[in-house]
Amino acid sequence: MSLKIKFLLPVVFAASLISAFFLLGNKDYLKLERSLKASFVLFDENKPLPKLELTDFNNQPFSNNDLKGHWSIVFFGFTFCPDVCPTGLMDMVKLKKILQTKKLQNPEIIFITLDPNRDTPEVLKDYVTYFDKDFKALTGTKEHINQIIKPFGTFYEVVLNDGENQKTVSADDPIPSDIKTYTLNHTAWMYLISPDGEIFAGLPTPHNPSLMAEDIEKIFAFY
Amino acid sequence: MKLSRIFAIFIMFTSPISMTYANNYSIDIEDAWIRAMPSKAMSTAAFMKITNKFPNEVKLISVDIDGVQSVELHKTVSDGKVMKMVKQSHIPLPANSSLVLKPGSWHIMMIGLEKQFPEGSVHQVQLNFDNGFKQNIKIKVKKHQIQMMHHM
Repeated sequence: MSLKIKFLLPVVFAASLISAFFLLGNKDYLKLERSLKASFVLFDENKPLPKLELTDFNNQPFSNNDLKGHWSIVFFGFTFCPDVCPTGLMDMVKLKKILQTKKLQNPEIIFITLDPNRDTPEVLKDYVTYFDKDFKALTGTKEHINQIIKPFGTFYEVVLNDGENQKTVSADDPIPSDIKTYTLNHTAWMYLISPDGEIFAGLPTPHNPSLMAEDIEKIFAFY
Repeated sequence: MKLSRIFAIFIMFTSPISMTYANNYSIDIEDAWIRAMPSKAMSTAAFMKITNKFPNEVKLISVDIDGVQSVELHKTVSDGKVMKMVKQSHIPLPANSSLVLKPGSWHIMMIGLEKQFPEGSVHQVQLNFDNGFKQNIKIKVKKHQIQMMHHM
């Protein structure tokens, strides 16, 4: 019996040293995740953000480097969107105000269009800066956008509206030139991008700016 | 011939009664607003609180707004993660109850804006219900609903 304890003691000691190293040395993402009310930690070092080849609303190229050195919130949508996207952007306006009163750094708000066909850089600039002069918007080719949304878990489909009839087609299907109007069904999560330029957290709908601000404060302190 | 005459007399006598009946009830609109959008925006939406004071269910079947190509009744629904703005044939209003049309839920979608709807401007809107009741209101264009800010 005593022999067994003699043998076990160093093992237990070593095990506690190792776990202490992991708890203190490495960041406890699980503990952070449990403390969050309106978001989920999505950071996965094995899944880096894909190479971005986008264009900003001033017709300037936008790459992964433009996300580095500061926090950002990325949001996918389309300007024809009459409800979900303006609601999301208004939530971002509210979030910015709350973060300002908390004297916290404001993440850069970046709207990426899922509808590059209609959302030219000019349309995007008019749209996002209407909500806040500091908001940014990006576009790109439809093929590239359809690729980069995947690691975010963003999904959309196209609803073709031909007067009375509606038909839903996939994001990869071409939009017929004779179609009168179309809208998009899409996920409306927001994504917090870390200063390393990687996806850090996802903020699902419905968005609650107060809770989002509390989570962002915790994430900033953790990072 | 005779039957139709009797029917006509019947209508003559009953219609004033039904009109009085209808006059006792109404559908009230409160806190209506049209969402202010950027000048180049092709669509926007109207929101409001609708109170049906009729003792039976009434359906909002259409809305007339000048300067808009197509006005549709929509509901934003979340299908798991995907937000869908689903076109509705009508908006049901149960007897003696209120329904709030708000962002992320029921809304009146205004597609194809032929005129500007700048912030602060006021527009005439007519709501048409399935029982023949019509409600004419003036709605102001706002960036957001004041009430929403209180929840912060």
